[in-house]
Amino acid sequence: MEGAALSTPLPFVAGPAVAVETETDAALMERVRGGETEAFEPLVRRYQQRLFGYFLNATADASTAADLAQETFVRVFRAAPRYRESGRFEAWLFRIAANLARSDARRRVLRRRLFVPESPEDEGPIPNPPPDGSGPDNPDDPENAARASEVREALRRALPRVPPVFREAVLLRDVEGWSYREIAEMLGIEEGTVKSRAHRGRKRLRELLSPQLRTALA
Amino acid sequence: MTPEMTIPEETTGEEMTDEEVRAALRSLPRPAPPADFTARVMARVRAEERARRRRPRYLAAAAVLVLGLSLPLLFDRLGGDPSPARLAEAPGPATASPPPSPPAGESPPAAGDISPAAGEIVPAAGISPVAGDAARVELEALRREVRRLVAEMERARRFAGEPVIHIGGSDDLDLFLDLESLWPPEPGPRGASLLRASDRRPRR
Repeated sequence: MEGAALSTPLPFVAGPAVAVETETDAALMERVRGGETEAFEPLVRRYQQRLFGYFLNATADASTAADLAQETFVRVFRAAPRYRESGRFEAWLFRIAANLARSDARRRVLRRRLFVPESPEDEGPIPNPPPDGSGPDNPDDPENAARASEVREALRRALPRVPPVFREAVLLRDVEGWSYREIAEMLGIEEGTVKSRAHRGRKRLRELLSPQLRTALA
Repeated sequence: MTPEMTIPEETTGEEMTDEEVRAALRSLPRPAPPADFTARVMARVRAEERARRRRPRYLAAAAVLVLGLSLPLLFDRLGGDPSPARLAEAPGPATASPPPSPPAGESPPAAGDISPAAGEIVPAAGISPVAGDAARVELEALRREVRRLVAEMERARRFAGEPVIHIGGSDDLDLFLDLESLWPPEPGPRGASLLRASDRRPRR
């Protein structure tokens, strides 16, 4: 399944046309707590793309990413009566998402250990992808845009091969843009641990990407 | 929009730096979820909401079940005198004020004859009318069951040659039901057990 998802380039979509919602997350959650189920829909629309992207980077599988994003929203809804406006809704959402991503990674590791023999391809640098012309080509510099597209594709292929705890820190920090402190609070770990994990995650990514880059940039 | 990512030419043939990896990560696009994603999430959310609304009814049914199961034990504790007055004394669900005691000289109400007034449920605050109705229906069923059991007990008492019935046991223990102690003319000590254990087999 992962392979199929990887071989198909993902659409580069800037984002759906979302109606401008003026109500804050907290106000919407308050309405949900009061029994207005439909007030949850704007929240789903507001965060679905971010969540889907987060899970897609973590799993490299569009179907799994959609399932996990959906499960996150359902858990948020279930926990709505306990929601208090003490922190950011977004941080709470991502805490739930990070927990789900971690559980999913554990399940995948277990499944691989139980059912699939270790493959030497799981280690080592990633192979070169087939030439891929898709991507947000820069009309001014198509060559550079193509290179950037290749790097992104390589990155997407490399991310699922980074150990889950390191990948989690890298994604939350570098892709989602949370501060180390926020991530530490989100995951219930020390800030120093987050930094260390993010650093090790990037190091692993560099190892996986270097041969790819040498080819792409040569 | 996908952020612009520039790859310095000097990285050619070299390992990426930390900052370059970060720039590449920041440049990752955010693909949109499937078109029907919102609809699917909302369908699940609505299903959750429906399940949440049904939950109190299940709880009410479970409470009634627990009450039903505990009634025989309550009768046992009362020493075989399940009169409304005794029921009112016993700890249990909230009930209306007990009915007046029978006038002197009159026999007490038959065992198990719990009049609707005696067992009227006083709805607790926060219990929905639907849950209250369900509880009333269950209570009525329990009353019928108690009346049936009392009638059976009366029949068994009439037909028994001996006032003690062997009701089972094992190699080491026999259990007897002493019908004399079940509805004694004078109420026995509170908490007296109806069951007696014996190491002897009954003589038939």
